Amino acid sequence: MTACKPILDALPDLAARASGDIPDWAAAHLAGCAACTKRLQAERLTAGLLQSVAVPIDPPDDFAMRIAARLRPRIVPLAEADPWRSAWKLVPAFGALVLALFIVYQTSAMPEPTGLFPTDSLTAGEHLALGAAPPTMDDVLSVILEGGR
Amino acid sequence: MTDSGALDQPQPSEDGRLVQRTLNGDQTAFETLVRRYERLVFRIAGGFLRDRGEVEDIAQDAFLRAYEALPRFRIGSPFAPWIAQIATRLCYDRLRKMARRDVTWEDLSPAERQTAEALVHEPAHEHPAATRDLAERLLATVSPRDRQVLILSEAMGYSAAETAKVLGCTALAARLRLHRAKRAVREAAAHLLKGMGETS
Repeated sequence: MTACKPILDALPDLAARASGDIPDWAAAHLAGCAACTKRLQAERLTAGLLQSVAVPIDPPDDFAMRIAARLRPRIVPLAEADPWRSAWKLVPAFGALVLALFIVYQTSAMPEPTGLFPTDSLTAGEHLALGAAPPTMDDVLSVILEGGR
Repeated sequence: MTDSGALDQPQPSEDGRLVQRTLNGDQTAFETLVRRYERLVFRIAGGFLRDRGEVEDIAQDAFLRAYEALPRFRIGSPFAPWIAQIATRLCYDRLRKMARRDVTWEDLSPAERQTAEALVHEPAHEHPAATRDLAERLLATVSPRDRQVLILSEAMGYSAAETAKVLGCTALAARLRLHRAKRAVREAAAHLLKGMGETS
C-alpha cells in the first residue's frame, strides 16, 4: 500500500471527483486505508455542504426604494450634517495662520525688559553695590595700572 | 457588474460621483448605489444567515450604516469591498450572538442523514433543503471567525485578496485564517461521520 501523504495532498481534488473517477493509485490506497477513506468522506461532506451555503437570495424589487424611504426624513446634505468634514477643510488655513504668526513673532525686535525688579531678595552687598556711585575713569585706570591696590 | 455579487469589478469613479452627489443632498444618488450593490449585500448576508427576514434585515442595516458612514468613504476607492465589509461585520455580530453547538450523527434528521450519506460518496450537484440544514449544523460547530472566512472563501468563492479586503486584513492573514477554519470544519465533519456506520 502507498503512503497516506499523496492522498492527503490530493484530498480536495479527490473530493471533487465521483467515486468512479478516482485514479487507480488513489483507489488502491483508499481500499486498504480506513483513515484516508474517512478523511475523504469528511472532505466531500465539507465541500458539498459549503457549496450549498451560497444559494443566492434575491433582494425584493422595491428594496432600494424602501431604503430611500427610510432615509428620506433625515436626508440633509451629509457634508453639512457632518461638521467635522467642514472643519477639516479649515486645517490648512489654520496651519498657515499659525506659521505666519510664528514668523512675525520671530522677526520683530525683542522688547527690552522694563520696570523694576523686586529688591527684597537682594543681599546686603548687592544693596551697597547698587547704592554706590559708579567708578570714575581715574579709579578704573588706577586699578588697572596699580594692580588693584 | 454586481449582478453576480462579485467584488472584482468596481466602478470607483462612477461610485465616487454617486457618493459625492449623496453627500451634496441628492436623494436619488444613494438609491442608485443601493440598486447597484443590493445583490452583493444580499449574497453576503444570505451566505451567513438562512432566514430571509434576517437577511433583509442585515441588508437594510448595512445600507443605512453605509449612508451614515458615507462622509468617511474615500472618494475614488471602490465601493463594493466597502459595503461588503459593512455587511460582513453585521453578519459576524449576528453570528456571535448565536451559540456554538456540537453536532453528532444522532442529532440529524432522517433527511439530513440521507444527505450526508450521499455527499460522502459523490460530490454534490444539487442542494436540497436538507443539505442547507446540514450545512447550518456543521457551520454552527465552528467559531464565528472561522465561519466568516469559510463562507467568504469556500461558499462565495472569493479569492484570498478579495476575502482580505472584506475582512480588512492582509491576503496572507486571510489564507492563514482559511487554513485554520478548514481544519476546524473538517474535524467537525469527521466527528459527525463517526456515527454514520453505526446508527444509520
